[in-house]
Amino acid sequence: MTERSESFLIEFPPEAHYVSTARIFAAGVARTYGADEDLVEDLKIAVSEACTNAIRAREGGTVNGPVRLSARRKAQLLSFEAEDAGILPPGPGAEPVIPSTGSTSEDIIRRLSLETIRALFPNTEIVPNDQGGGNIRFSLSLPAARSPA
Amino acid sequence: MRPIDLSLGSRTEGGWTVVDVKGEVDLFTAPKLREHIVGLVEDDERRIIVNLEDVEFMDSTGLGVLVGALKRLKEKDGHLALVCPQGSVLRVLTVTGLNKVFAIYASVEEATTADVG
Repeated sequence: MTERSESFLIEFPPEAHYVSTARIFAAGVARTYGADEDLVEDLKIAVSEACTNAIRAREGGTVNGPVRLSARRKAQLLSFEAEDAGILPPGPGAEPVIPSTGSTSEDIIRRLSLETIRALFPNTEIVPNDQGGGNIRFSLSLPAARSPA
Repeated sequence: MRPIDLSLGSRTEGGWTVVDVKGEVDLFTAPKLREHIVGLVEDDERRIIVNLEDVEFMDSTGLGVLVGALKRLKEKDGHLALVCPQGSVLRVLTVTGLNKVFAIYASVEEATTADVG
């Protein structure tokens, strides 16, 4: 028998006050599949980071259109993907998280953002998108043998 | 549009200015926190405690504000301390390694009585 997958999508204007809506969406999906609350808290942070990056990319004009955050559950894996900027970020460990002198607050935030997602979800990938940028994708493991609530 | 889910207050305790933060700090609300702290530094406050006890959520946008505040205060030979007893805010400080950069205390009382030089 083939394992069924389920998908969810939220699409919103690139405005800062929608970041909390994205967190609520992600937390709701994760809780539906019985994700542990500590994991839900980590997920909220990662989603907030990813959507913040996506909004900043649109403010900077590198990407246009609404922000899309999708979730896909297949077996015991729940994956999230957010469309990100037109510029692919550096690989893990490229620069220290702790800011150096001379860094601007913007530099610090951008670097912290991706490093935070990677620290919370080591399986984080940057997937090239058709706008020449990268989508941020990461997954969390769900508890076994739990049906959606 | 959602209301700003962040409330801020300032008080003086033990020679420190304590900024009590309540709510969520993200891309939408962080500018309000930044503006508040920058205002205090411009008013020559040099010993600031940011009390994050009642912060339910913070991401790197909020961390950027705190790092900026630390830099501003260090430039003026000031001190910044954070009160962050537990929860997701401490988690984000830890995963980013910023728990090694900031002086973090479990309570305002602990922060005001600490020997910061």
